[in-house]
Amino acid sequence: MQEQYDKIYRYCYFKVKDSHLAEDLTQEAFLCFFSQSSYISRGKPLAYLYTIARNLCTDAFRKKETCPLPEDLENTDASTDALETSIAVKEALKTLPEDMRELLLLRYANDLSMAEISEITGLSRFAARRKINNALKQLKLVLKKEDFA
Amino acid sequence: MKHDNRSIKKHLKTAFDPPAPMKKDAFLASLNYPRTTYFGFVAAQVRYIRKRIWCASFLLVGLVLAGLAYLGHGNFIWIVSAFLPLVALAGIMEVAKSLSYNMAELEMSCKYSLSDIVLARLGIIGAVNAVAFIVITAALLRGSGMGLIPLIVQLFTPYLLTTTLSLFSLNRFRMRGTLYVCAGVSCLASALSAGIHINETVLMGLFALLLLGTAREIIKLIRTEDGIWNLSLTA
Repeated sequence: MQEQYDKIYRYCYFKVKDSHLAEDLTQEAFLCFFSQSSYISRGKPLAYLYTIARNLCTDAFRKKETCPLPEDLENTDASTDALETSIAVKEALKTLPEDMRELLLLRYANDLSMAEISEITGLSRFAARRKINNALKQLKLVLKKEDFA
Repeated sequence: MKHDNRSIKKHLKTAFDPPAPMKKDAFLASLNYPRTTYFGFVAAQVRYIRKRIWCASFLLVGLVLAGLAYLGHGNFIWIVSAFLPLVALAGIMEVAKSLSYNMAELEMSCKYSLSDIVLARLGIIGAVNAVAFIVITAALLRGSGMGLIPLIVQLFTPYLLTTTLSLFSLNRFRMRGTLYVCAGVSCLASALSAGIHINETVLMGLFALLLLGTAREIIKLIRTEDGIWNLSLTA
């Protein structure tokens, strides 16, 4: 449950870019999920939890104009090269479209399977896989360009 | 800088990290969600195991006890040993059913991952078999004149041969046809057990090898199942 909380919180933060709001939305998503037992017994409950979180984020985003907070870079003890790459990846991610970033978050940060991603996003497994591969390719291109810049 | 796929994927793991949540522990401690215990989960799985599995175990114990009463010990150990692969087959069929049919109906109606279900069922079948085997071993030990370890080795080597080879096939080929392979393996093990008498030391080595083989294949079976896709509602 703790792990799922972290993942949903990460997802909400990605959507609203405000840690307090993201945490409130995460908790609301869990409460909503458990208040409706039909979600739990319908199979694939994780997809439903993400769907609730996504809808809550969309509602919150509509209600409030958010100003992104500066991101924390706490990897002080990491090697310089790893830190540089980490910063470069974060910067490169900003150049990608929102839907591609979302797919990368679900796949690599939240470790979801293709089946789960397709449930959450409404894409077919094939389309989700293709989009993720394209996003990785695009990310690689941006990183290469940054190296030469 | 290194920008291969592996390095990018590694950095993507942390690229989306938000600031640490502030109210997580308090929220999770107060969250009232439908929990079930592991015992409740395992008990629920018992109902899904087919009755023929229980019948096979009871029948085996009954036949051994009846056989001992009427035929005496003699070559009886080899006869029992030859029957054990068929008991293993019954258990393997149950697991194969879960895997080859993908448990669609159950996945849709429950909140556990397939690996949890397979593990629980293997555990239940293993526990029932273990009880049956203890009864059989104890019955055969009395009056057979054999030591405990040689008796166990002689009795269960064909059983382990069946489990190792059947699980090996299940782990590599997830098809309905694999059931026939498992049936073939158990018949072969049964026939070998009845027909070939191996030197005791070689048999001991084979037993140890097959024991390790079965453990390895069970671990592989559980690990290769999809990761936990659900919310792990067990408390």
